[in-house]
Amino acid sequence: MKKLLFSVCMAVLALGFAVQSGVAADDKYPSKQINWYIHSSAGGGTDIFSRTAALRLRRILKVPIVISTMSGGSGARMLNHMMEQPADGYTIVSLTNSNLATMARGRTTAQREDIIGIARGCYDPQSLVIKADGKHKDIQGILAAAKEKPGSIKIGVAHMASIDHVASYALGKAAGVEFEFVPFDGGGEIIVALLGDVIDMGVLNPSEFMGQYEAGKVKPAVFLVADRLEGFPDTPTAKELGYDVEMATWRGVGVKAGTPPEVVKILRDAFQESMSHKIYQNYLADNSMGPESVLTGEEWDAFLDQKWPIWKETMDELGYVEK
Amino acid sequence: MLDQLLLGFMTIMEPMNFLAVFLGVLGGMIIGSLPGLTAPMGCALLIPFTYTMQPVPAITMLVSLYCGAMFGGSIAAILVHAPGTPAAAATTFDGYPLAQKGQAGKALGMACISSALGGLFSVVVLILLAPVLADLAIKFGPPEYFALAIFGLSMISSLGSKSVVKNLLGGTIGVFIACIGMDSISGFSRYDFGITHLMDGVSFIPVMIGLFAAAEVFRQAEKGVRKIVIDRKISGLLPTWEEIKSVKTTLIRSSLIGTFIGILPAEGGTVASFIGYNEAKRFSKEPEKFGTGALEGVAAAECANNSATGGAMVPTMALGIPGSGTTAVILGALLVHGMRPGPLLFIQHTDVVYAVFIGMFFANLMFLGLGLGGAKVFSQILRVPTYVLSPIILVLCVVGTYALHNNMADVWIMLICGLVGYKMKEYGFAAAPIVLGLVLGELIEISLRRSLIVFDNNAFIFFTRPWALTFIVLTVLGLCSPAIRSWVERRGEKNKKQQAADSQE
Amino acid sequence: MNNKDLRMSIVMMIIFIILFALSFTFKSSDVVKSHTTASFFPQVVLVVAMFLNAIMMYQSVKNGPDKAKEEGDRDAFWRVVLSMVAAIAFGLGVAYLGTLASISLFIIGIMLIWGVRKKSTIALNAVITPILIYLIFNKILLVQLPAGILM
Repeated sequence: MKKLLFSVCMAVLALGFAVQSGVAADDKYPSKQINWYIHSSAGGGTDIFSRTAALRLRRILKVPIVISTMSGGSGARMLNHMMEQPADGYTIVSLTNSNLATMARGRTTAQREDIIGIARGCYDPQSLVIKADGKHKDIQGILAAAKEKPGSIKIGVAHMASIDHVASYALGKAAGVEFEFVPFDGGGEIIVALLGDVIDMGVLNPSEFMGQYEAGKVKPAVFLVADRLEGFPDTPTAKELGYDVEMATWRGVGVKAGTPPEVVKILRDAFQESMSHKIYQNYLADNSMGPESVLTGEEWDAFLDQKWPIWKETMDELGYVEK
Repeated sequence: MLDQLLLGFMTIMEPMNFLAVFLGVLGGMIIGSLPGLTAPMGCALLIPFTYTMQPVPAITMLVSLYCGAMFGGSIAAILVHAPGTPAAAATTFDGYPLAQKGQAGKALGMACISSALGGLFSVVVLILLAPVLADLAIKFGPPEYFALAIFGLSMISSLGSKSVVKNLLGGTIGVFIACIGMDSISGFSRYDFGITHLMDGVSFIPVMIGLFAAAEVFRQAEKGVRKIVIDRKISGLLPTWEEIKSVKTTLIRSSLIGTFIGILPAEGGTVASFIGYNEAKRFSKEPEKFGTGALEGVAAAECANNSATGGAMVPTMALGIPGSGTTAVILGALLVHGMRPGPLLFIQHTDVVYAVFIGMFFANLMFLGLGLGGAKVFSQILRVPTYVLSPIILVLCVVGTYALHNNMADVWIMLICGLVGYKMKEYGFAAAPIVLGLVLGELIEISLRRSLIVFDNNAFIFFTRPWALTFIVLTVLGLCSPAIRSWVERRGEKNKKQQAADSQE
Repeated sequence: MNNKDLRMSIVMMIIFIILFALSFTFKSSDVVKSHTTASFFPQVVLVVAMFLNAIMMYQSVKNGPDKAKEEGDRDAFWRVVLSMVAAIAFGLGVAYLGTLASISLFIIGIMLIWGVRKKSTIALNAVITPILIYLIFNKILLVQLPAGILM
């Protein structure tokens, strides 16, 4: 009896492995599971973006799409992994500012030319936010104070060598002032510090400060965009003030360079369709982002091309490139 | 407000919403009890499903999962010495010895009751005082966090093995491990030895699973199969009314500590449970029983970590500032349903907010029922012989650690910590101080250096801000308390002798 | 040298000194000068650690060598060592062979090492555990487990 049981178990085991390993791949794309890697942790902004975009994508492409976090070195591990995979469109990676920073710092084998942009899904303008009833009334006041006493203006950024750091550094450079950067772990911590008078100003996205803004506790002093935002007609833009600084938090996806053009096209179209759907558009609206966030195809590649040199230069200037 | 609560109650009683609470708690308990799978991960998995749901069941389900997972962590911690969630690490100290003595049912029951009571307390605080307490979160700047973290770290001297020096050294090593990887103040990497995996640092969940769970498996290997005597009669007995009554001061203390720590955005259940446990030990009449299977220790830790759930919801809802990974996801879900957490949330979306609070209240009652009912069932796991159970535990450790970040490096860290954790016991080192040092290390470093930036390298800032000073004083008192206690006792004896001498005259 | 603590503290002291020396190799930004550098905190921690280690060293010298050397159970020792080897092999297996197959092999290995002789128990455990893990993690929790050449 026991022997019988034993052999039955072993048979089940052998059968299981045989079935699992015997899956053959089809020629037409997509014919098997697509692995979508993100570089940040579960529950973060990039994770939520990816999961929302993937909702309709699964129906459109009719294959399983598995989103996995592959954290490590701000995207370094994820990009290295991508470089090791075949360029067949079955490996998608998330692309954000921090990935560009990682590439610019030389911490991964991948460079800009190794990636083809598929689609952008989020575009959240950066702004410098001050307390509504604080010492400083507007951006001119802050810049004047910083000019008068260099280092006296403390500005909260989420991590160093990040988009926040680079954005505020770029504005300071354009205005000829030096800020004191205070690194935090994220937007929430920056708001707390701002409300608690620990810092004078914070670099935040509308989605991060809307709650406190509506309650009249904080206000954006300047947006780092070209044109005034619809929701904030009274807030000046950096361009208006004469500083050519345009910075935003954006999130998108890409594949390894060398992926066949027809596969790239299928993916781009699928993403366009998925992100035009009501579910995705609602997600954008709820996070105070406009429909113009969605950008696919060549335009998105061009956008990356435009941002890449900025990162490369600034990282070098700030001394963050690892030689 | 009463009618809003009543309305919320009616909403939760609708079958779909009630089902959401039930499923959330059940899912949370399962995720919580599996080491490596954490509440934020569970919530992130649920998010896509909540898009199509109504706001109330969607948010309630996530919140219930949070509560359920916080309790669920204690199940594996008590039964197999594997803290299912980081916050359950302190539960292993007394929970596991109790289970070894055949009192798993009691430990689980106590964990369940104290978790629920702590959770309920924090929900009541959340309902009554959320907007007021939210200001507390704002008052806590970098110097306050530094002082609080130092206070937390001062516990390592009494936690773990008998040798104070070894405990302190273990804690320091823990703090050092937290330094590995990217330095978030300067943005440069430290001690990564060119390994990409180490650039993000050593996350403490693999270390904790290794030191606690994997090391225990190796300890079981010593016994092997032959020497195991079947003395594991599991009394499925639940704690008696007297036992619950005897820990009531501990429960009150832990609830307050947990809620307070929970409100602070940078801290959560893990630190709350350690502090709750240590304070219970400090105030106990029999501190020497802690660590050998004191029901009070289980109650203190579990009550504190569950009351952190309600606390963490305070800044999330009232300020729009998430205090933990889980509340960050819940905040995302609120946004998805068109509600912007912040000072106006309570005015604009009163109906949903109170329904969610009532839902959270029910979630705590729900796992109280499920936990007490299940305590006997769960403790049956111990009937499975060690030689069958132990390999499964190690398998779960490996799979769970991998699932954390889809990273084999975490698995290697876990296994190395398992080997180290097994070996270091021989040298008189305990796991608890290392884990605590690792948990607090980053906070200590960042808050210290951030304070120095903000206050222009003025180190006196820790003594001039009231909250910071409070914690510094508490730390000093805590470190000196054994000395003070013995001094008071000696004085007392002296007085007695004096009196005796006087009366003889 | 029959003094565990002394041996341990000497080894640790060497490690601490190496780590301290390594901290001087950390980079720092040319632009942000006002901040404390990356090496500041590790150095503070290591100094504290070395101080505590010195106390431990002193205590161990004062206490003298260990009293009686515990006569360990040789079988138990080898069981632990083999279990550790099995655990490391399991980790390698997960990375290169695939999760489910490694789970089966690991469970069989550990149970044999621990001296389980009932084949049916071993087989049942080796079959049921991977199936349950697969169902819970891959199907319900949608977690990707590493898949090697086997599954």
